[in-house]
Amino acid sequence: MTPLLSIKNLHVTVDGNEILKGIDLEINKGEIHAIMGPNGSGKSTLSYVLAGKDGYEVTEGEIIFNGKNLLELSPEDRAREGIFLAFQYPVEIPGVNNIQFLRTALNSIRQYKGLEPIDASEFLKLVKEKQKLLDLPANLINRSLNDGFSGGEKKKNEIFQLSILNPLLAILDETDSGLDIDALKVVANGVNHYHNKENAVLVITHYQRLLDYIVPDFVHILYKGKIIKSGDKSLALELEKSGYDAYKVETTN
Amino acid sequence: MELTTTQSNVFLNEWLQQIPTKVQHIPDEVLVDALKYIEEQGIPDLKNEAYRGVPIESILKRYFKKIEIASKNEVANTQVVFKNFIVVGDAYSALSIEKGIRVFTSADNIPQEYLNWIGHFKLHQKDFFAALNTGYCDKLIIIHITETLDQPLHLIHFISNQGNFNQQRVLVIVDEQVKATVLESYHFTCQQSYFYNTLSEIIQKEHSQLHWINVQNNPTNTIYSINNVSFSLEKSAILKHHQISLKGSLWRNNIEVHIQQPDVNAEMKGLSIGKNQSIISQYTSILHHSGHSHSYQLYKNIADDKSTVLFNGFILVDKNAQKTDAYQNSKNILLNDNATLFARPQLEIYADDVRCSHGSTTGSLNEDALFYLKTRGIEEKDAQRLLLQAFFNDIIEEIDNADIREFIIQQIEL
Ligand SMILES: Nc1ncnc2c1ncn2[C@@H]1O[C@H](COP(=O)(O)OP(=O)(O)OP(=O)(O)O)[C@@H](O)[C@H]1O
Ligand SMILES: [Mg+2]
Repeated sequence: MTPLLSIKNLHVTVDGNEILKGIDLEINKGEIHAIMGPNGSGKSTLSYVLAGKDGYEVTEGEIIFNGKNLLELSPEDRAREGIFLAFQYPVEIPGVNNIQFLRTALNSIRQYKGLEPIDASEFLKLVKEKQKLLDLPANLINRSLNDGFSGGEKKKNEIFQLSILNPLLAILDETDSGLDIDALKVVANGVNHYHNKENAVLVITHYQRLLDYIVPDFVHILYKGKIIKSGDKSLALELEKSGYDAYKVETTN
Repeated sequence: MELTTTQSNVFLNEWLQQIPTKVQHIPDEVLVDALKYIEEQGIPDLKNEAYRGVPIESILKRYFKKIEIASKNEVANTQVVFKNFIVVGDAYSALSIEKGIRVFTSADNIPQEYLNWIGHFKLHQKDFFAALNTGYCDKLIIIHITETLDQPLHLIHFISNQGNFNQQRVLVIVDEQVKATVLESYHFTCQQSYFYNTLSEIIQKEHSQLHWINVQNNPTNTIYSINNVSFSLEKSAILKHHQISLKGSLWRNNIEVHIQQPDVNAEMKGLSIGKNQSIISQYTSILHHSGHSHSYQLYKNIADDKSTVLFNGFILVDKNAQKTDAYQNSKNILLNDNATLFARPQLEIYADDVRCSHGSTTGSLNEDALFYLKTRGIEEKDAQRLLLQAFFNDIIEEIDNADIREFIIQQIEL
């Protein structure tokens, strides 16, 4: 089986500084991967490179997504091919209505796939269903996009979008940070609801706690721009006990 | 120095000779002042501060050296939005009005009470083109609104595919206590460059409420328009003004609001979207001659392609205009490095007990917001459109009449 996502020897430079220094990662359909790593190790950088943000220069390596060379695609085409990034810091966009925006997004993805625009009542049904799933008040989702949302509400809204757009690969960049315990469960439930054999999840987090709810098949430790260790979910538990120091030694040896 | 002045006077004199003088209704002393101003000031050149960024002299020399004035034309295919309409421009006889509006044209015997207002605010001594309109205009229309209108009045500037030069003058009087909405729009079918020089004098009596919406759009980009407007507000009058300027070669608006008496409320909002090589220049003056009044200005400007979009907002508070509250803000978005955007507030305050604030911001579209929208599968152009609509939404939203809002939205191309 060819992997859904295959990253090979990825080197990325931002403003002349090399941030990612040779990443290798394969994700198959049906899998959940977690990336952990200290602040500044390059986790968000990796997620931005996958989403296609300007200013992140790939100096070496390749990314194949679902059989396509991802690096040749614009951010919007990556999204249409099935990449979804739940941002660590979702942007506030006053004046752009949350629901209208989602409908525009969904329809442009559908159009790319050769599908008709979604019927208004069908869309409304979908919205209602996912809104309930994520325990979001109606007045919130009808507001301007993330405008004045609390930190937790923004994160929930990201997962709300995920569940409506239903991509092939969901990259969650610290979606758990800023969530209270109940919200964490709701968000995890949303992700688990979305996840199936045909798609994959890449969770970026600092805390093992999230992984109790979204159980990964693989855990990777990213350190100074490199994956220095991969393992199963027990690696996250180990890490929680020992911290990163133990692994830093491993790399220098 | 000497030489250039002489040369441009030679051009001006030859140019003026092509315009048949048909002025009948302009009061003598106004006419004398206007002609004197034309001769003394001449066509604004590149050194003229008020026309900074608007190379009007070279535009005239290049496209309008030879003036052709078309005879009166039939009105065709005009986009009539409301039952109440008056067509001006090169076919100003078409109209349909309900009770509450009286109309006089140059052909009529105009009562003296109206003629007294002509030139009253001396626009012809402030601007060359206002003077030109005063000295050489042959189309005058007087609109007297005597009762509250239950639907908007549509003032349509119609220009057919003939000639290249037209001057229109409008005088509007809104009586005491009367409420009215006026939509002013432009219907140009001409394929060639056309110079359209308009002047409007609007008198609002005590306690009147006027919402004036001017929508300038010329998809063929043939129009070069200079539009001088003055509003005069008496006690407790309320004015809401919307200036929407879209496609066209040149849209220059000199909009002057005279606050003559206390308790006036003047709210001015504008949206300018420059595309292609358009020049849009909004020149507003709010003149607080009397105190206890409130003025508010919010202009949103977008410059794309190779367009030039300029905003100059002047606020004057006279010495005895105490307790004035004046606000001005312009927000500007530059979409293209080849476009030019310039916004300038100008304040002259001679009273001490006033509240005046002004601000201006210029930037490009928020890159992070654009990226965020694109990561959801939205095309660059659509993402840009969503952000631009969010940027100017509050200007359009403010228009109560849904038909007018729709009329505007239809014409905006992003
Ligand atoms: N424009 C830039 N110029 C130089 N360095 C940058 C730039 N942007 C990011 N970096 C650096 O890249 C490194 C990786 O940043 P990144 O945001 O990917 O870290 P992270 O692993 O997501 O951290 P956190 O856990 O704090 O979210 C950091 O050291 C950061 O300072
Ligand atoms: Mg990060």
